[in-house]
Amino acid sequence: MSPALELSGVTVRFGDVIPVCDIDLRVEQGEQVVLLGPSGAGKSTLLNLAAGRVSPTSGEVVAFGRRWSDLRPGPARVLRRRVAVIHQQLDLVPVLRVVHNVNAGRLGSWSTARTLRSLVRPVEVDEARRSLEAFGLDDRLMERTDRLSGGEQQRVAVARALRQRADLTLADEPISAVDPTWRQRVLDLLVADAATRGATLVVSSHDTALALERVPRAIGIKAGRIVFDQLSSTLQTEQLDDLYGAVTR
Amino acid sequence: MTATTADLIANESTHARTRVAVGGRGRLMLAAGVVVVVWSAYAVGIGRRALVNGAGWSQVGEFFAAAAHPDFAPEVIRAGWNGALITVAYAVLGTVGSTLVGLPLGIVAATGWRSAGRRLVLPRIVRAALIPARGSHEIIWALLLLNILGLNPLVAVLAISLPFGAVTAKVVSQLLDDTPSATATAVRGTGASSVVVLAVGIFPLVRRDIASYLSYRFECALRAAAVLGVAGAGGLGTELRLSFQSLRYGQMWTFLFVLILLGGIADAISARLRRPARSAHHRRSDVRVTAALTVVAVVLSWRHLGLAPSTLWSARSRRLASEVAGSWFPPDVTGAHLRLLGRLATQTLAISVFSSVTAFLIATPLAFLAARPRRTGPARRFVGWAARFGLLVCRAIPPSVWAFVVVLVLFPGPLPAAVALAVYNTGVLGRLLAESVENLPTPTIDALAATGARPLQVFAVGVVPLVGRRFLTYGLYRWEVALRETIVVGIVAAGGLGQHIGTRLAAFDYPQVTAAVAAMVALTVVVDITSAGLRRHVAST
Repeated sequence: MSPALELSGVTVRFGDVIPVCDIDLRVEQGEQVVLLGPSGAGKSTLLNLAAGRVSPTSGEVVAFGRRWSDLRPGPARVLRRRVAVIHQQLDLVPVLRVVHNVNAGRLGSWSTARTLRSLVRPVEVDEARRSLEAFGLDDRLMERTDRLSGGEQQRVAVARALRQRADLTLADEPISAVDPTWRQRVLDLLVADAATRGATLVVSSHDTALALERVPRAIGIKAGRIVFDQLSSTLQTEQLDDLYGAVTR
Repeated sequence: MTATTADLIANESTHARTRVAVGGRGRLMLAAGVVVVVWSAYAVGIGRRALVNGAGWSQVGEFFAAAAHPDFAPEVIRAGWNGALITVAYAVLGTVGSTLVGLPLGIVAATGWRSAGRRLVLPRIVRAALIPARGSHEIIWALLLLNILGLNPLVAVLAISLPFGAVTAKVVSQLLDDTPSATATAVRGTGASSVVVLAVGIFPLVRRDIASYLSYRFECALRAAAVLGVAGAGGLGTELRLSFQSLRYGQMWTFLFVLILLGGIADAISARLRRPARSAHHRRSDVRVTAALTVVAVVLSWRHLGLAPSTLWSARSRRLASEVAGSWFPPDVTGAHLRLLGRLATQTLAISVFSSVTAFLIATPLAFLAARPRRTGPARRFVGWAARFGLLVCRAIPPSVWAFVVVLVLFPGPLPAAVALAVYNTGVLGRLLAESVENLPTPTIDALAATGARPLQVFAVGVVPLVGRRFLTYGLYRWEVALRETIVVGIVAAGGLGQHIGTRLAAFDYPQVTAAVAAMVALTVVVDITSAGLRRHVAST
């Protein structure tokens, strides 16, 4: 079985900035990984590479045995269906009702005709409601998305990703805006969803303690390079101090 | 804050920010809209009588074929050059004049900078006084001023300055009032006077928006100067009309190409001015260069036109003004004339609706082609360039010239007026819509594509909801403008209140002209209010 994700010798360079520098990384199918590191360490770029949204300056990025850079638009779409992305900026369509944003996760599996029909009269409403129920938002299903708070919108963004039932979920700070009472629950939902379906999860988070408790494999990134890659349970406090500079977490 | 042109012009007539509760009224309104559109098509004559004059096609063919061989004889080139100088001079002085009128009036009309609690009578009076000024097309101003000042370049300059000034005042007051300013609150807290609050707390925040709005107004002034020229004010418009009347299409195209070139230059200048500066240093130097060039342009324009403002207060002008007051008033409000005005107002409304809907339907797909895409091949770039050029041609050629061409093939009446207006409006609207397509939030679109959705799905779920409301808002805004422009095309194509005003003027029947102009202003107010209501509805659903 090919790994869910394989990066070999990957470097990304934007002008003078090198957010990712010569990284090798292999994530097997069914694995759950947390990316740790200070802001600007290169976590988002790494996730964007994995999603095929950023092309490496050198090296190659392979998901499920397919190299992103080799794929023509058609096959790239097929692969994107298998990869769900939760963006740091949410990127929901603000003027649409919540149900459409949640069901946007299904677009890859829907026909164009079904998509157009759904905009007139929403389809798979019960499924969307069930997804939102877990996030405590089922009563907001028919509201306009921009009427929700930032934290609520982030929960909608996570629900959208889960609706995609992807083989690989890439979550960039999925709980950063969520209110404290929901943080743990949202992370649990992500982890449980991946575990029950045998899917792969790569998540980045600043909520180190919470993430380390729940996600078995931890990768530390600093200045575009991997500084550790080990079992979360074996991680030492000094390693984290080192990763984040002098600040103790 | 960098506002798009469209954001700024949205301030021309309404607050689009108030939210109203809406229930299931959407479908009802949609149905009503369809009925109105079908009615407008019927009212302009579609399906009721012979519309197409088959014999005219060959002339239309000749006209467009002449585009391939414009007349470059030395005297034509000279006429084009002189015409361009006059047209540009009108536009420059008209824009500067409208700024001089609009900026102070806008500040007076704004309420936000004054200390709260006072009864604000003056702003209300100013706002009310601006309504008829905004409601009358430049051409009406020109006709009125022509009667007072005689054949004088001041007529065209003032005919642009006054209505444009009124619109600018409206936009400036709206910008001042809609800008939430923590600085203003803080400054007011120190006990500073209202003027200080305005100068320190509010004005700096909207300075850039006002500047980019004025640069957009310059484009509009250039088009207005051409339209006034066709009506006889001199410049390229007048040259165009003379060559058309002598059927010299080759000459016409020479002048049209000059107009298209000027339109392109004006577009480029205003795009350059709206682009955020790279740094504070660049901004300062941009401001200096713009200010210096403006001063030079004003001086040259003034001298080229040989403006003599003393005409304004000469004894002759005063006498003519009192004569105008005597002959234009009282308006003809006899029952028969009012019935005629009612019928023509309905027809005018139909022309404006039909032309706006047609323009919207054509401009929408063109806008997507014309928007500069992010990732492209050479073929797509060529299509984009062609679409942008097509839109430029549509809007650079004055609506009255389009009307000349359309009446070659359509029998005179409301339909050719609507078609001419539709072509022109497609050019203006297409450009505004393309701008909002270019401003689409890329991450949101990318996020949808990241789910593996096909392009059409991304378009339906992402692009349409994101730009749909804006498109409707601009469509409604252009409807308001189109209503005013019916005057121009009506005179040529013989439709609506425009035609009536034109023929009554020719017959020196001023009481009827006054009544017709009043009817036009009233119709403008009704359409503005309707459109503002619809825009609020669009913004809140």
